[in-house]
Amino acid sequence: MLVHELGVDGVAARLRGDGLGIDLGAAAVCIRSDIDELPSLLSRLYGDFDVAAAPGLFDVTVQLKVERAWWRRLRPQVNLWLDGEREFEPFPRDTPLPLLEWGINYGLASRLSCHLLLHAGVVARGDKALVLPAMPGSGKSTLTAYLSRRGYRLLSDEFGVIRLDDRLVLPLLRPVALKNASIDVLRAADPALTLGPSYPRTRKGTVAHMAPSASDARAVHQPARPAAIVFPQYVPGAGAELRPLEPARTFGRLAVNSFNYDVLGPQGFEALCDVIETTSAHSLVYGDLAAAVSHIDALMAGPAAGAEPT
Amino acid sequence: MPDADGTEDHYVARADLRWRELGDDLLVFHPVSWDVHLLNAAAGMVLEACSRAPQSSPSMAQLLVDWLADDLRADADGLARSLLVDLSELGLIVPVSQRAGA
Amino acid sequence: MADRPARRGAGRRAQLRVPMPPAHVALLLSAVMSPAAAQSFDAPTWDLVIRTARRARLLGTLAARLASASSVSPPERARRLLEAAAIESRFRQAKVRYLLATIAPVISRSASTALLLKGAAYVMQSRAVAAGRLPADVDVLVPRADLQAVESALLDAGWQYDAIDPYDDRYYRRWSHELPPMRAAGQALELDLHHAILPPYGRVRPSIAQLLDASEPITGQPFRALCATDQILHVAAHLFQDGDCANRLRDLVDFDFLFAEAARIGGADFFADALTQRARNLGLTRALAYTASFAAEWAGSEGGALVAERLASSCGGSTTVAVIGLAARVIAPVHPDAEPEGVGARLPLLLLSARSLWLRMPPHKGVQHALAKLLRRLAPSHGRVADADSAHPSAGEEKALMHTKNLA
Repeated sequence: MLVHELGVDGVAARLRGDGLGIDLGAAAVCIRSDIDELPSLLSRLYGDFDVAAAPGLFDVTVQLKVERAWWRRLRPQVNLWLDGEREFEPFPRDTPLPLLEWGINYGLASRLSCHLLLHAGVVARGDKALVLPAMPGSGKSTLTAYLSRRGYRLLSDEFGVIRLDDRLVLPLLRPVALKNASIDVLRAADPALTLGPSYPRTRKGTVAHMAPSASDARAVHQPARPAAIVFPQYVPGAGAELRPLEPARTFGRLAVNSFNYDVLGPQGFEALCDVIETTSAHSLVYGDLAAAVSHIDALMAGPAAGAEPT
Repeated sequence: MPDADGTEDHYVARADLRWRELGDDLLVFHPVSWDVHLLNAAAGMVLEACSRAPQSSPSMAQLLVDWLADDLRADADGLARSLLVDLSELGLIVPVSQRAGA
Repeated sequence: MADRPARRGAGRRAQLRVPMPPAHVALLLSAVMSPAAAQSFDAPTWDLVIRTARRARLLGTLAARLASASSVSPPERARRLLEAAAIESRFRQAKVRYLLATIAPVISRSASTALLLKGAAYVMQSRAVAAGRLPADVDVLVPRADLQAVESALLDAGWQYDAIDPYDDRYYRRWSHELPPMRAAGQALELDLHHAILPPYGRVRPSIAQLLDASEPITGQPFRALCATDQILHVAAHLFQDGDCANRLRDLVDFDFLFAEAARIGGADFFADALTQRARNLGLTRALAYTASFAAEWAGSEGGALVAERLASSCGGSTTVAVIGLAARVIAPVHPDAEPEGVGARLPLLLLSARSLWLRMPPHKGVQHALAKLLRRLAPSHGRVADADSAHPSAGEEKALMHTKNLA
């Protein structure tokens, strides 16, 4: 059953009851909340995802609750609870969705150490995956979202989940958090986009969430083989230039862009080396999204992407 | 430098290192610190030699001299010595005592 | 688990009455103590047990216990969550070994003797209780006379104190049994230097000389460890006197596992006698009685039952009843689905903190300290991750090196 098939009332009943369970691919999340606008927001952004039965076994369970303290009535706030712990400062009452989404990400990042977890966007063409590590200033989310509107399957905009058994990338699909100008860029790229509300006052500026497509949501249990790694760097006014990266340098950058490479120790070392040996790595400096995409198209179609293991 | 009685410091690589060649570089995982060290070609050659047999500064200088560019050859001794010291400080090789020429 | 020994005659005084554990705690402890029980768990039960275990910092222990029970095959998602904890445990234990390998020469030069305490000792001694453990720091005890030399040597070797509130720093140095935690570049764990196992000005002061005399070497290490009875007494002291009993379920498990391992040599009764006698010698009977009673009632610990029976006469009176009641409310981890806490939930914790302070320092000083802490707690963002959007996982060298104590 898909989330939108529950209807907004069905979603609301679950949120206020045992929880709305959602299958994201490599993880399942359970959300409980008493926030009025959340049922219709989640129906919109997670509509094409599979419902996971609650009560059940989840990787992350969160509660998003309005602050009940009496002195809060004047300036209401919402809190995110992760297994009974409040990890974050509260958000204003009118900004619940960003807190929910960031809180779920935080939970996921700390629960999935059974895999090698990269901080990266991941898209795929056919069964070949392109990993886009999230250096600051990379514009990774925008680029990942844009690629998903240009014929690439979206596996994740935040997490590169590498299964240790076979080095395949597993989808961990989430609504994509777009910031500021990216919101309009994506709307222009695909007028049929499903977007959540814009929240103007977050620390990152204005944030809006883009729903993944129905076909991407259907494919959350379909892994892909890492074929290329591209480190994007957004430079306004630049065209687009792709440059190969040396393997050792790629190792360092990927290690720093991993949530748990250090915790995995020898296993993380071997896994990261394997991934680098079987992919081609590049840096991409770009200011023009369309030009960036055509470089990536050429890369993914060419022989360099997806070398066989030696 | 050799001691008065002619002994040179000899080194062997730790037996439990993990290493992978990536391009021209060698990545080495240290099993106690869990640090990963990136070795350039010269350091990689020395480490690999130390994993096959105990090595000293003179033997490493000899290994390197053919491989070095002309302008660096004269300082093969110094380079070999500093590489051994560096690798030892990183804990990748450990000293063993052995008499020169034994 | 063995049945408790039959009660004897009428002259026997009543044992400490410990309340039943909350249901979610009983479930978790049953899986840890008798892993075969998990075979009957359905998905929601796995969910509750795993989340409770994570809160109680017992998920790694649970994973290790289940791994050794061949009759249990957890569902795939549970297997992955448990594996993640096992991986975290392996990482932390490697970091313990690395830290000790690094400081061993420094400490050998500057201290006449050095003991490992708690998790660091269990790991280096390969104790059964070390399996799946998630150490957050390394505790080393040196004689007070050597403390300054050791501290200087560590500072010279690149160890540093976190930027610390000068008030906390003075408190640590004057009233506590340990220095503020130290960190060094490349080390994921903190180093805690102790000179006693309990605060030096507190009401209970076990003799360090006795602990050192009875200490044991650790094979292949320049460090020593407390002997088996003293390790357990340290757990008991830590649980009921040094801290405020918050979320200390793990100590009950440690008590049982340590007892069971030590009892293998001469039998449970023999060890129970030795343990209670040692507690009398060191003045720790009350803490041991509390710990043993909880271990017996909550974790079904045979060792706990044997010890509680022997110490039945050691405690009694209204203070005991009040402490047991308070402790029961806060030893257990909060239920993962619990409603956000109100003042009522915090009160037991505050009362136990007060008690812990009372035990730790002379009364007039205790009031002063508590007042200072209260005033500072009113300052914003005490101890919490600051903002969701900046806590949002970010690339950075620091992330590659440091792990925080909060394992949730």
